[in-house]
Amino acid sequence: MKAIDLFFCFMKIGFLAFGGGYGALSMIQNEVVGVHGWMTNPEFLDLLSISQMTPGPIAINSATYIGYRIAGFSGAVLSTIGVILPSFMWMYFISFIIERILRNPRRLLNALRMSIISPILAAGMNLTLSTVNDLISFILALLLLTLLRSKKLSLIQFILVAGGLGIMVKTF
Amino acid sequence: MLKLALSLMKISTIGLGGGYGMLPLMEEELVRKLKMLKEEEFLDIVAKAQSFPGPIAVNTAILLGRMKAGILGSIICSISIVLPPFLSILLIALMFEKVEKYSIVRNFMFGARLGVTIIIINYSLELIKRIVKSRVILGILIAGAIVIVFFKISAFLVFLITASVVFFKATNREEK
Repeated sequence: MKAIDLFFCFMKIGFLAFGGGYGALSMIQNEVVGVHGWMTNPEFLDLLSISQMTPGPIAINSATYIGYRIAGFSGAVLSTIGVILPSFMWMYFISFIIERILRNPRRLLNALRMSIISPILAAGMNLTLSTVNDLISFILALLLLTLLRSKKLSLIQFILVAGGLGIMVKTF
Repeated sequence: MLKLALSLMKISTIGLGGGYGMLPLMEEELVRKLKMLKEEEFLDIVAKAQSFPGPIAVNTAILLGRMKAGILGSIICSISIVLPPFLSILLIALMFEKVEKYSIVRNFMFGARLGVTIIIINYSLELIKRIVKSRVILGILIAGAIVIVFFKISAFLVFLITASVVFFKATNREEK
């Protein structure tokens, strides 16, 4: 049953998704594309573009979308429940246990939040390897990086501009 | 409680840009307009929601609900925050299946994919700049990323290993 697999996969992701949405995304990329092969990298990026442009937490949007693509409506429901269930466990139980046992829980939490950089960087590298594969995409990527770092656009505007450039480059 | 659930639903319908984008909206609505909780209470909740895993918006909703009505409150609040994006994404997934064969959509996605890739790369660079203070730890984190990408080792495993190395390193240094 794919929907059940999705449920447990997203529970695992929700349980370890330190560092908010992007932490969760890196885990989702690793599991859904790398481990299970449910999606390809380009499909995963389509999903990310879509969830950046729609309202709501990115982790939830991705869970719903991936669940739907892989196992229909039941997949969407189970993946979404799977990704939020661990939040209940953390907020109700585990956070208290950690705060009781450790004199200084900040230090552990900081280590965990710092370490999520590895998966995020890995997801970024992995996606770069699959999207930047010729001269045009390389130049476009550099252009977009400069544009993003100038901090002139919101993320939604940025993706719209990126898409517009894509249409221009491919059409002319 | 009903008021809280409804305003969370409203926020999550209009809150573009993920969890972080929703926090200022929540503050505006719940603290300033509805005066449901004090500024400090809200900041405490957000601090806790950010320290532990999970989507920040969902964690915040769970804690807000608990403050008002215990576990039942948490369940109602998290459903309110999840339902609008759930429905809109389902709708979009259905539409996307219909339009993805058109060449203009494919070309748009070619650019958008690059854009999102750049967003993730840039986000990890900013995280490094903001929270990594030691070169050794930076080395460990980069090594971790390389291991995940090129040796195809599970990100979960690498994450847990790097986290324990970083934790013990930080602890040792402080004890010296």
